[in-house]
Amino acid sequence: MVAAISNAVECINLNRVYSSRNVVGRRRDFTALRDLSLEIPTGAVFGLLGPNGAGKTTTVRILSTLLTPTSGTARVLGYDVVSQSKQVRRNTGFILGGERGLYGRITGEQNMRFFAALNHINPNEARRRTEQLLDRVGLSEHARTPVENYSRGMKQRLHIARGLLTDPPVLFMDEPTIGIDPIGAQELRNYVPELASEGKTILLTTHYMAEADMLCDTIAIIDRGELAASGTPGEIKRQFSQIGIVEVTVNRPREDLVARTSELEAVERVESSGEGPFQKLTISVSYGVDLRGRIAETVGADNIESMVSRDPTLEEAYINILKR
Amino acid sequence: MRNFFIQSYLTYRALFFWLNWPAYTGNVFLVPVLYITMLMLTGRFANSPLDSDYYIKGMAAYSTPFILIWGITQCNYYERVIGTLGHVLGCSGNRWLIYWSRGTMHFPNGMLTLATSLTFAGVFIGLDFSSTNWLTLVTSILLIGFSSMAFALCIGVLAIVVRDWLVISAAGSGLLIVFTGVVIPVDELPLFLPYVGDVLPLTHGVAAFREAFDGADLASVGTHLAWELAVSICYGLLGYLLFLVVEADAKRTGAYETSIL
Repeated sequence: MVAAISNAVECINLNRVYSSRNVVGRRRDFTALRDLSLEIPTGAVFGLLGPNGAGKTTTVRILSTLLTPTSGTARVLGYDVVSQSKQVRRNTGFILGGERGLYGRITGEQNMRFFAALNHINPNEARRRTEQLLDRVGLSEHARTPVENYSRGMKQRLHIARGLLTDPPVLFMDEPTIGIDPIGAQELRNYVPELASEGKTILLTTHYMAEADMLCDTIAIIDRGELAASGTPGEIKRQFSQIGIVEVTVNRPREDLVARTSELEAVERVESSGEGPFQKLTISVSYGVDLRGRIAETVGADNIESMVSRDPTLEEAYINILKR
Repeated sequence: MRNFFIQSYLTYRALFFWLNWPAYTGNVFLVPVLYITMLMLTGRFANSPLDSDYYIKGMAAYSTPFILIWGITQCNYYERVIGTLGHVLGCSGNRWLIYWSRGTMHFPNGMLTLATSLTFAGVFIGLDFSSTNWLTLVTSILLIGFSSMAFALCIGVLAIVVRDWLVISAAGSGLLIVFTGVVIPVDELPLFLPYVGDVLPLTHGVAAFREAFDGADLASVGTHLAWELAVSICYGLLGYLLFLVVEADAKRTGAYETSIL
């Protein structure tokens, strides 16, 4: 079944509306997903990006059967997430970011054994897999420590180990590196290509553009529940940003430079930051327009330490898409 | 079955927050002893027409649902609060087993607290065991434990919904103390209230339990025991259905993964 399916995950016109009532019973609706359609090829690492409240977590929860869509269809390995939720659960693992979702009073090993039992894994096999997975995520030494004594990074690694317990062909990772220190986050990121090389399909949601750029084959950017852009990181940068970047390092920082360069035709946005004694201007200009001469005039040629034109980063493209 | 017991044991360890020496000894051993003493003395000094044994036996039997209700509801509540509920509902596990595994390890607590109560009553208050039919006594105790567990699991589901275990536990244990004949004879209740006890656990179990001390054999309390078993099964099924409804509602609303109102 798995081998015959080209798209491990498919969402077709997915809508999700959350309803709540206030104290006088008045109903309020919040649309988290609006006609979201996406496809994740089998074996791909797919990044789902978007600002807070964009609908990333809602998408992951729908795909992992924790939430039903208000309308539309979602399938995982061909199984409908609503009518065939059991089959979906058997074939997916989900890894959520954050401190919650683990039993703090029992050890990491016991957490693993509990979820193995919950998923009908034979106790002997569960013991073997627990040992193997805790070793894989570097928690063997802390296997018998209560989880409440774990650091955030250790808890996150335990989340990953738990997500892999059933050896699922499809993994949903919802902001797995959120709140983790840079070294810990880097260690966690290393698992993604490793798991992908084992043939797993991975849906990764993240706020970190560099992470998505580095790890994902394909990316979708969603905003307010709608698909804003999709493609490979390279395609997103080139096609969807429609900007070029000029970075100017200025010798003598001046407050008015941002306003003055912003007034130039074809300049879309200017950001200023300090770089030691220098001022760095990151100027987004319309794609294909060479503004270096005009910028030099405006800033003052003798005031420029360096000026470099480059393609936008994924983060810049992302900001550009969301600010359109 | 091994997986069922692993689940039962680990949820108990993970979610039963009274599982530390002061809380455990206090609630399993001390509270029932204090309740028995308090009710016995209150009855005596209030010139109750009932003899002390009525309160002693009633409160000894009541100690079982007490510990089961407060224990199980808190486990269900903490499951939601610490954010593991979503992971449990997101697994492919058998819901029937998941539901019952939440109560299994609390059952021995119920037996232990009742044994403590009876030992205390026998040694320090002089409860007379000389005519006791032990088979009837043990059977009624086991049935009280089972019906209390089924009732506690059922109202425990409500603790998930309302995100409060104290109110649910207090309401559940309050219902039992008033309507099941542990301190007030059911027949003495006004209007239709005597019938309320018929749909609650403990009422018929405690009636059989009392008769066991007078030497009643299993056959003579058979109706009580059968009724107690029927009530247990009803609460077991009702609670399980509620659990399925909660799961469906969790998926529909998405609200069960938050821990605050």
